[in-house]
Amino acid sequence: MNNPSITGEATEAAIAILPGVHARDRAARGTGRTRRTPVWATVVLVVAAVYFLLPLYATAAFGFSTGKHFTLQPLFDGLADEGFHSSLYLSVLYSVVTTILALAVVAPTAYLVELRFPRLRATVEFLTILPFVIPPIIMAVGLSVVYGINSPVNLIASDWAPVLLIGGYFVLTLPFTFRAIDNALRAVDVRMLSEAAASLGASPTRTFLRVIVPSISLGLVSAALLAFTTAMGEFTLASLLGYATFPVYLLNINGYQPREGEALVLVSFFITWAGVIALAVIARKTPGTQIVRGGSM
Amino acid sequence: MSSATAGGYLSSGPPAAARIRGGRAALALLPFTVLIALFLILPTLSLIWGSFHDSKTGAITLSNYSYLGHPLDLVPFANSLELSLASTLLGGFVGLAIAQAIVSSRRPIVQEIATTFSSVAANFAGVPLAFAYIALLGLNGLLTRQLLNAGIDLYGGGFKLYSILGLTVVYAYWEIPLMVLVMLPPLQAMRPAWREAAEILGASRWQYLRSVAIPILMSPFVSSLLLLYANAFGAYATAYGLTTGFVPIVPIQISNLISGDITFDPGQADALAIGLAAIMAVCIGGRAVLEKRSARWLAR
Repeated sequence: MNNPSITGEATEAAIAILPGVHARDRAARGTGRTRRTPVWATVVLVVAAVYFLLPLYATAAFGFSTGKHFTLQPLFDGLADEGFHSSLYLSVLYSVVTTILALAVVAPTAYLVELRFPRLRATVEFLTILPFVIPPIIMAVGLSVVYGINSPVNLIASDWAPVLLIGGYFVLTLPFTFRAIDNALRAVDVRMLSEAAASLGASPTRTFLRVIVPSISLGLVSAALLAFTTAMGEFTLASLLGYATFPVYLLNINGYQPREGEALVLVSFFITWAGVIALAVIARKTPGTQIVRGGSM
Repeated sequence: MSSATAGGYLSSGPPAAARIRGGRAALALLPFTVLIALFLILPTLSLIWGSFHDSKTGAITLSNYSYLGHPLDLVPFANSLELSLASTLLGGFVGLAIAQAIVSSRRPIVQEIATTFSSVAANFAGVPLAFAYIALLGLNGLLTRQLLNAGIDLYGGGFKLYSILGLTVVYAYWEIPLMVLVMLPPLQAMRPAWREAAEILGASRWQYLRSVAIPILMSPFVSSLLLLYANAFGAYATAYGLTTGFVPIVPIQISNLISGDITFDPGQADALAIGLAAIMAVCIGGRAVLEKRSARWLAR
């Protein structure tokens, strides 16, 4: 109990005043309350479930039909489309590179901040929150000013174009990746592990790779999933900076082949969901604050 | 630091070696620093710089911020404000009710499924969500037609999915589960003992709510509303997917200013972006302040 001053004392005082209320009675009442789900709660949850499933049902009903009959043809057509392959390939490529970059850069940084530069913590935490203040639409403007067509450093029109989007995704995913890794680092005694490894003769690099990384593996997987799913679904930067990724393709195909488009919308859900459900499974295994991500990017 | 005593023995080793290791450690921070500088700090600074310079002449000017003084130019802000406020209130209260229902269900399996489902729904946003809603509530949407068969003419009654009202409905789809996710931890941290203590002292249900539950939950609730508000204000993908750029809200306006042919004016886009960032900063800053306050009661 963190607040014994209020809870404990008030309850004890109440029991002292009302001797008729025995601990056992209260316990019995308590268990009676824990077993039953109130009717209103059931109603709310059922209505909520219907509300959240309706758009999905409508998407499936439209995407998996010819207008009259049920068919999976639009899905097959959509999956066979050349544009789908190339855009999905681009998205997967950018997302994988973003994920690897995020892990390779954020993990050592968070580790060193925790172990050697605790004074930098406030600054680093501020920098990792900053992307929340600067949503993708603002980042798109900033990046196009510095690296766009009218800039002396015209990255967009060069062979280095992927670097721009991946750099943007690194920043965009930073609040999630840093938090996931930092939580995991704080759950283990980084200082003790590092000094134990050092006293046995391990170099700092070896300590990080062989001791720290395995002990924060769940946090790293969680960070990787957050980075990957964020990058896979990102539309704003890709669209405004001119990259033909999967979400951009999804918008275009819905303009001229709506049934294939809606069928592919379902495909895109399943990609995101697989990631989100995997994250939920990991979150259950790890104690401490969970990372909440949601909303439109 | 709690582990300071355990670490004292080894970290007080030879200072020379420590200094060398310190130098190498600082070098290891370089990739992070470079990436942040190139893709976060530099774009942000040039955005601020650009907002005070004329796009065509390059002269220093305040004219990019002239929108602040013109009621007509503030229409996108008014629309964004309305959209964000409506979807935040809708998402906030419905989300709170669902979160309380999840907590009240008292069944671990229900709680687990509902939580996972909420994170899935909260991540269901952007272009895919836009098209799911076109299939549901578009002019020829499933629900639109069903309601028409039942005698309710949505579009005849003035509803449009591509309007601020329509956007509010769509934004609520991710705002509600997001609210559920952020309000679950504080609701779960409310101790049954507090309620029992109030009951035993003779408090009514309303008195318990007014004197105990609401004061404790107020900080996390307002903090969550700020998150929802910021989320709706900065959202671009869903709005663009639904309207392809024809709804006058701030993020869409910004994108038109940097990608449009006729409306191309990066300086003004920079100034609008700064205005948007200011609103974001207020929300995120407010959250930080409130979270410190609520940590006192709801820390586990």
